[in-house]
Amino acid sequence: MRSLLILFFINAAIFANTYDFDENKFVFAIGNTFHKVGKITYTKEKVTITYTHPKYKQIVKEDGNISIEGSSGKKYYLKDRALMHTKAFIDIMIRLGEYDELKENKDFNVCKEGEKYVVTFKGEMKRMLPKAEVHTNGMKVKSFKLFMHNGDTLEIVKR
Amino acid sequence: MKHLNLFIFLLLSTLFLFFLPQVKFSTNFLELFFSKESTTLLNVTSKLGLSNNIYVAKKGFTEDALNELQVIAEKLQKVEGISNVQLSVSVSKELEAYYKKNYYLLADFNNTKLSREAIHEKLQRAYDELQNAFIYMPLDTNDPLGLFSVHIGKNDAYLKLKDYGYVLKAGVTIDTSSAAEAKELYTKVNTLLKAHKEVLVYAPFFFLVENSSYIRSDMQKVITLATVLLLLLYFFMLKNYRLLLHTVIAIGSSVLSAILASTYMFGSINLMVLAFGVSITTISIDYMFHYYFHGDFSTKGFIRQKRVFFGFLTTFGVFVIFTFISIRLFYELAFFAAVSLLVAYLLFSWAFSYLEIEKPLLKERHSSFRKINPLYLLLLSFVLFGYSYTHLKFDDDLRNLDYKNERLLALSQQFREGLMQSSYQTVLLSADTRELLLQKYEKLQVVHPAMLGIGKYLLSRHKCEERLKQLRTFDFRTIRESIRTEAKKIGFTDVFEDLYAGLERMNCDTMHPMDDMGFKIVQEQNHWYTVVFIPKKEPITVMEGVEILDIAKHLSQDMQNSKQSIVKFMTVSIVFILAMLVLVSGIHILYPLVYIVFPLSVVLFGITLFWGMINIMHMFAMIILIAIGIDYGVYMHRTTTQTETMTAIKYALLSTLAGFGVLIFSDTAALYSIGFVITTGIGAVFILLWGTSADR
Repeated sequence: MRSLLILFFINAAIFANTYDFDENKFVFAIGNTFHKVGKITYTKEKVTITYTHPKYKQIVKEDGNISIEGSSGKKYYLKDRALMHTKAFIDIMIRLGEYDELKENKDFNVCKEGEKYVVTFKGEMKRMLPKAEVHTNGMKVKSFKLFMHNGDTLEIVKR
Repeated sequence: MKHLNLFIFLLLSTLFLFFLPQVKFSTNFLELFFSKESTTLLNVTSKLGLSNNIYVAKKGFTEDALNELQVIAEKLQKVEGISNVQLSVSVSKELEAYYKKNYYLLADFNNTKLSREAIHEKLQRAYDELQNAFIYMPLDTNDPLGLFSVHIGKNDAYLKLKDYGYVLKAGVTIDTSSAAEAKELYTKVNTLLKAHKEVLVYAPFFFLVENSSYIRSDMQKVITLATVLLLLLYFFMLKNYRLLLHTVIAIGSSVLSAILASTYMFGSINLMVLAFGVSITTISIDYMFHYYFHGDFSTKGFIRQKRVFFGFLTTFGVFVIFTFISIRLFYELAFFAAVSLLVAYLLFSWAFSYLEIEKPLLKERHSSFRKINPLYLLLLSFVLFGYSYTHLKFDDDLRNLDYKNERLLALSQQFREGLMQSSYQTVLLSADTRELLLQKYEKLQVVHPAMLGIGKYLLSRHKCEERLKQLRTFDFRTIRESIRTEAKKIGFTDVFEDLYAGLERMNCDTMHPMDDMGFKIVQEQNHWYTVVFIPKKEPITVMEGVEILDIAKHLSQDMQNSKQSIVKFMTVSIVFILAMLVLVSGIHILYPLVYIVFPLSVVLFGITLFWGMINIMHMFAMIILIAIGIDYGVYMHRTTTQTETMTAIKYALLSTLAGFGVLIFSDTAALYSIGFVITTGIGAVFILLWGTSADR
C-alpha cells in the first residue's frame, strides 16, 4: 500500500507543470507597484500558487472552488466577484505561461512582434482585460504582462 | 337514370370545385383533442420559446472539446433557421450594454446614509486591500462604497452536461410545430454534425421529426396492406368490377357532400377528421352489400329494405347524438360521418337501383351446428363487462399513444437532468397587462429570492418609479464630494472622477425586453405571460395567475374529461339503440342487441387482459364498432334470406377488416389501438354469425 501511495505521488509530481515567478502588480488607483515571489504548480484537476515573498500565502483552485491559506493555517474560500476574477486570472496565468497556447483560439487573437506576442482577448475575457503581451525566448515563455481597463497592470516573470 | 350515380358525383364535384376556394383544410391537430385552456397553454409555451433550442454536447471537459464546440457553433451560426448560438453562459454585448444603462435601477441599492467618517473608513479599507491583496481585484472606481450591488451566482463559464461534457445552445427561429420546417432543420443540423465524433445533439422538436417520419412509414405499410386486401376482396372474391367502380363513385359523392357540409358548419375541415371520416363512410358499404346480395339493384326505384333503413337510421342517430359532444374531434367527425352515411344510404338505395346489376348466384347453406341461444352470449357478455369494469383503468397519458422513440426519450432525459433543469420547477405567471405581470413577478420574488426570470432585467413601471424616487432623494452630490476629499487624504490618485456616472439621467423608458434576456413576455388572447424558474425544494406560493407549468397534467385532465364525456354519450347512444331495437323487434331485442353487446364485451375483456388500460383511441374505435354492430344485428334479426344476409355481412366485415383492421399491424400505439378494437370486434361478430344464425 505504501509503495502504491509513493508511486501515486511520484506520478502526480511528474505530470504536474510548475514554474517559479516574480509578480509585479501596478495599481493605478494608488500609483504603486507591488512585487511578490511565488510558484505555480498545476495539473488538469488542481492549481496551487504559493507566494513566499513578502509573506507566505497559498492559493488553491480545485473543483471550481478557490481557497486562500496564510502562514497561520487559517483558510477561507473566495465567493462572488472575487471567485470569478481569480478563476479567470489563474486560467490566464496557466495559458499564457505555455508557448503552445500562443495560437489563435476562441478566447484570444495572437499577433507576433519579434520575440513579443500581443494577445488581444475576445468575448467574456475582453470585458476583464483588453490585451496582454507575452515575451518569449525561443519556444519558451519568459514573461507576460496583463493590461487592465482601469490602467492596472500585472506582470509575471518566470524565474 | 342508369347514369344517375355518375351524374350526382359530377354534380357534387362541380359544386366542390366551385366552393373549393372557401374550403379550408386545417392541420392543427391540437385543437381537436384538447380543451381551449390546454391549446392556449401550448401556444403560450411555444411563444415563450421554452422548447425552441438545440443542444449540442461534446464529450469531455477539455480545451479541445471546447474548441471543437466553437467550430460547431460557427457552422451552426450559418444555418438558416438558427440564431443566437451560445457556447459561453455569459451575457451578450447588447445585454451588457442594456444592463449598464439601467444599472442603478436594476442593482440592489443600500440607501443607508453614510457619515464622512464612515466613508473615510470604507475607502481606507479598500486602500489597504489593494496594498495587501494576494489576488487581483480591480477597484470599483464608479462606486467605491458599494452602495449598489448585484448578486452573482456561482456559475461556470460554460454550459455543462453532467458526466458528459461541454454543451452549446442554439436558438431556432423556425416554427417547430411545422413538420416540414422542423425536418429541414433537423436534416441540416445532423448533416453538419456527421463529421464530429462523440457529439450528442438534442432538441425537443426532434420528436416531431423522427416520430412523424416513423409514423408515416408505418402508415404507408398499413395502407399498402389495406389496398392489397381490398383488391383481393373485390377483384378475386366479388369479381364485379362495375359494382366496385360505382361503389367508389358513391363513396366519393358521400365524402364530397360531407366536406361541403362540414365546411359550411365549422368553417374548415381538419385533415384528421377527413381521414377518419372517409374510413367511417366505408361502413356504408354494408348497405350496398345487403342490397347486392338480395338482388335489389335492378328494382328501378327507391329500394325499401326495412332492415337496411333501420340499420342506417340507428347508426345515423348514434352519430347525430355524438355531434353534441364537447370534444372537437368527435363532434366534427360525427357530423361528417352522419352526412356521408346519409348521402351513401340515399345513393345505394336510389341511384344504384337503376344500375341493373344482377343478383349474384349464391349456394344455399345448411349448417349442422347446434345454434347458441343469444341469451347465453348476452350473459357471457355481462360477465366479461363485469370483469373489465373491475379491472380496467383509463390511460390518460397521451404520450402512450405516440410512437415510443426510446433513443430520443433517453437523450431527452439525459439533457433534462444533466443540464440541471431538474433542480428547478417551471412556473407560469399570467396577468391582464404587462405591468401587472411584472408586478406579480416582483411580489413572487419577495417570497422566492432565488427565483430566475425576466425580472432580473426588467422592472414594473411602479417599482421603477419608486426606485427613481429613492435615488433622487438620496444626496449623491455630497457623497461624491466626500469620497473625493477623503480619497485624496488617504493617498488615492484621481481615479474617482466618474463617481456614479449617469445616475441623474436614469429613467424608466429605457427598459424593454430583449431576446438575449433568456426569458420572454408574450401575449396570447389578451393575456400576458412569462415563466420563472423556482428551486424545486421551495413550495410555490398560492397566488392568482401563478401555476406550475405542467402541460402533461393539463392534457391528462383533458383526456379524463374526454373519457367522461365519451362514456356519457355512449350511454345515451346505447339507450337510443335500445329504443330503436324495440321499435324494430318489439320485445325480441336480444338477438340484435347481442351484436352490439357481445363484440364490445369481448373487446373490453381483451384490452383488460392484455394491457389493463383503455385509451381514448380504443374508445373512438368502439364507437365505430357499435355503428357496425347495429347494422348486422338488425340485418340478421328474423331474416328469411339468411344466406344472402350472411354473405353480405361477411363481405362487409372483410372490407371493414381490410380498411380498419389492418391497423393492428401498426407499431404506433394510437393506430394499433383502433386496429385491435376493430379486429377483435369483427372476430366476435364472426363468432355470432357462426353461432347464432339459426333458422328462426
